[in-house]
Amino acid sequence: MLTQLRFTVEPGETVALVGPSGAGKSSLLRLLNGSLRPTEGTVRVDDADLARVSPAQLRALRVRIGLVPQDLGLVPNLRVAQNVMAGRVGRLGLFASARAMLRQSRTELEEIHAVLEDLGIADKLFQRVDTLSGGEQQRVAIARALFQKPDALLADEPLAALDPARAKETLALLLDLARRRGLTLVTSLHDLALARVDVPRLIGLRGGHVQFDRPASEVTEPELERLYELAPEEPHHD
Amino acid sequence: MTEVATAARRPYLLAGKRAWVLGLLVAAVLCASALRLSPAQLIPSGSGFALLREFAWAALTPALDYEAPVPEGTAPLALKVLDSLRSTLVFAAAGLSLAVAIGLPLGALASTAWWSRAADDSLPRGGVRKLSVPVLFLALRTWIAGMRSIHELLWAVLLLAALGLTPFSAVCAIAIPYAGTLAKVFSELLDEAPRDGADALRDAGASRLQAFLFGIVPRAVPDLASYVFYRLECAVRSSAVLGFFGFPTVGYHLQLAFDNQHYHEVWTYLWALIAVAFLFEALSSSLRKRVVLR
Repeated sequence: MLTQLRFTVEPGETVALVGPSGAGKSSLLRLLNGSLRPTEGTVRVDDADLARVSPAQLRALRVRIGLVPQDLGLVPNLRVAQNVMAGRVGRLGLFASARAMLRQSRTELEEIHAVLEDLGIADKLFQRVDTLSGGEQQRVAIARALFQKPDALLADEPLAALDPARAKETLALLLDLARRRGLTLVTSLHDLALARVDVPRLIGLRGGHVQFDRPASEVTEPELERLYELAPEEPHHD
Repeated sequence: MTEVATAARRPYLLAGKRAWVLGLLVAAVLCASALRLSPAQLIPSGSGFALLREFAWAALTPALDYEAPVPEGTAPLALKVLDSLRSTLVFAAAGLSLAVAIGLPLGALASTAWWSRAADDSLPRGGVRKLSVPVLFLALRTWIAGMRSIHELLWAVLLLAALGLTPFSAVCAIAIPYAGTLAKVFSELLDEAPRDGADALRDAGASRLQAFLFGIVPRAVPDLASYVFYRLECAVRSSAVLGFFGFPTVGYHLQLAFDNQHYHEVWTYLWALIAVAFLFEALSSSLRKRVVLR
């Protein structure tokens, strides 16, 4: 349940959503690409109200918004190249996309290879996804979103499957890719230490509310403690 | 530890599963008495016993040549067996191909995966959708159940009356019930496949059909391929039996040989069928390995 949210992300900006689990970070990301609809209030992308656009317009908007979901959403018995190609399917007609999924052209393969190279898994191009490690699969999902050529990238806990060293490296990579490609990047991160050091703007979410929204350098220790402290007044049902 | 206490107290005399098992046993006894089954019936009469012995002996000594004189210029038995196997396989393959062509689209349409969330925004909304989707869905499922609830031999009877003894009526007799079974199994495989891949495709702007084809279908394909192969095996058996109606498959020759009491020839055909079944088993297990574990 998200309430009383009001914020704007400018084109090319990088934002991290931080907060305890259950704060509403994933739901917020899903609101931003229209796969969840708000019961109240509006979500605007380029002045288009996501609740009012037609299905065709929503598809057109989604083509411009890459999402790396927390469960990755890969098809395990397809190859890496096919899974990455899936990111481009929204831009193609039915037959063109069927052709592209079955057999990628040389130029497409070169382009996919280039994206994978950026992510350090170029040698996995023709491997089946279910033969890859968790971290490698994470990168395939990122590659799919980048291959989509989006204007904005939404990433839901993109570091969750990675060990600490890999996580730091991957976050740096994401930020670097966003900068080089001029992408708007909104990512949820549970690793606060990483977010504070590397991400320019933090939005702290707790219990569906925005606790703070400011440059990372201005977020104070007490604010962070309040964001993550176990609230005795909220009963736990585990 | 209240759970342990309740678990320890539960197994009373006729609780849950026990009642079912007992009920089934009672039903079995009732059925047997209704049919007047008795173990004595399993012992053949004198002439029956002789026939059984002859038949069993024939199993060990299948005919390599005709048992009775044949007209000049008749093809050797081996060729005739091979030819009947060939036409058995051709009828089976044609019937199953048609069944796949009909059954896969039907199965896709009858899967809940097709009508669910991934579908959301391109179907009519509100009242129309609430009413039309369940009705369509139910109609499709009923149609599919109808196709497969009539056995291929009954379809053959119907189609023979309607179309006559043409190859097409045999092919359809196999294709209709097989398409129904394939549709049912395919729709279940599709519904068991995880939806996360399709959701990710929708999030990337893919259409409903694209998300379905590239996100869900690939996950059902390995199991589907191995199932289709298994059904080909079944289709070969069906096609063989359709020969009893006069189609030139193994069954036709089997019946002729049986009527003429050429039991050694009967066994030549039977062994040939069994060999084909083994061949298919080997092929399908190698296919399964190739598709599933690559």
